[in-house]
Amino acid sequence: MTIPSEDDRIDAYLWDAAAPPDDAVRQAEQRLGALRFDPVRTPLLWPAPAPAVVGHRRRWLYGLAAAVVIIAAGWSLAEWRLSWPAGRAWTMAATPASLPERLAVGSTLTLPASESARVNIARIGTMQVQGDARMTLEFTQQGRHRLALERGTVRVRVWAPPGSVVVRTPAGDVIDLGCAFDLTADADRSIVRVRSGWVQLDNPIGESLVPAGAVSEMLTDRAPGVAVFEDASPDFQAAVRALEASANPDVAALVRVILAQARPRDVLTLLLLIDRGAPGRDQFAARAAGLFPPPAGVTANGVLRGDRDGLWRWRDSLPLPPAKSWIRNWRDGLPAWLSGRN
Amino acid sequence: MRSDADLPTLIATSIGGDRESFGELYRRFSRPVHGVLMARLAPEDAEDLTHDVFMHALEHLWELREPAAFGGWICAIARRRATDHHRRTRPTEVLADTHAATDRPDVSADAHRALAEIQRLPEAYRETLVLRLVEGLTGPEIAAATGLTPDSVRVNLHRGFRLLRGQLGVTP
Repeated sequence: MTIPSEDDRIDAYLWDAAAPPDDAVRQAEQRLGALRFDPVRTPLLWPAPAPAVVGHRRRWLYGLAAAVVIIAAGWSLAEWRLSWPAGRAWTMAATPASLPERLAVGSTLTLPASESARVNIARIGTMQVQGDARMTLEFTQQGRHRLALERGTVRVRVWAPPGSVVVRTPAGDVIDLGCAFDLTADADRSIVRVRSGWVQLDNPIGESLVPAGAVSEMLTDRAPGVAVFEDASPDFQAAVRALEASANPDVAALVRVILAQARPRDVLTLLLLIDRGAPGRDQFAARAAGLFPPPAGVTANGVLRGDRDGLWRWRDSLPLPPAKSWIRNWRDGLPAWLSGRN
Repeated sequence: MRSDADLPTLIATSIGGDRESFGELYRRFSRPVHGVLMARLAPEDAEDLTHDVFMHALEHLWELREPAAFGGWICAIARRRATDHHRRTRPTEVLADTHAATDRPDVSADAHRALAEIQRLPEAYRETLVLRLVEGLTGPEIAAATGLTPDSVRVNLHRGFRLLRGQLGVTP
């Protein structure tokens, strides 16, 4: 029988405390054990909710009256903001001297590369138009405002019910769903980066919903791209776009990159690829389930077999901004200097 | 050894706002996080920052690429927080000399002196030894928390303890 050396004994016990103890290690453990962290003794402290204010009854009534006044005033202001006579020209907020002060229906704003202009979208938002742009106001009335962006970049902030503003581009329509977004368009491609809320991309081949933080691109010859978060790894983003383009013969390599680089936040992209019937959808479903399990009653296999309701329920279980709660993006309705957003 | 097969579910439900799930992650991973911090900071600071690390992790959980890598991920956050803390405060060497002045009467001055000895060791050994001797993690758990290979953990434990034993004056 071999007697273990002192070093062997120490190493075994250091590796696993269930091994026969070594006196020297035990002494060190006993001296240091008092510093051991105890999660029961030191529980996680959640931020405390705001304390309830208990006040006098009269104060409560004053508060109620003030709330009524504020709500009424707010309602009136909102009504005024959303109202807009059909066909009234939009005002230009900050423009070079060479441009007119108003943008009338049917008129075209053309900007050279070195200049930019800010246009008020009726009363519901603003649009920063950046260089080498050509844009036409096609239609405007309460609840419906439509532009055509032939080329250039616009930075849009709208606080209004979904679908109030539509920007037509050569590659398809960009529809605000209560949001802020950047749109760059040229003759055959539009790229949308969403900064708050949601945006819908729509062309004759398909549509795509893009939440805040995500980017999508639309080409004239295919359905709008699926939403990809901008903080996803560059390899992940490139692989998704290449997979959609179907131009890369090594599809298996693209699928591998997507599977390896996906985070829980990217489950949205995986679900959208599954819905599109992209190559590798079986693997995407398994990966999505591993990263962010589907809600009760929805399974990855069911989704693969065509359970679209289940797929949308899965998508809706992701912590994304509510698609129809434009009112929560109230900061987009404030002036840029007040909201901290451009 | 503890199974972390339910990590994807715990992480997903934590992202969804379930405090119980995140509390379970805290129960499982607070010791490795605390150990990583204590290899670099005074015990009082390590305890405070453990909480901060978990709150930071909760905000960024959505960005975690691989649920199974949660342990390594949150320990990496802890290392960064310890570095930030260092930049704002005094170096460890000074903190180590003040360990006896603690607000935790249950923690002996002897433990603080022993920790100070670990903190004087080469950096490669500090974290491994604190995780083993203070937090009571096994070798495989240390490997999972630090991202080191099991062989590296074995070597660090072996060499680190040989150095520490002389400094602590413990006898075989």
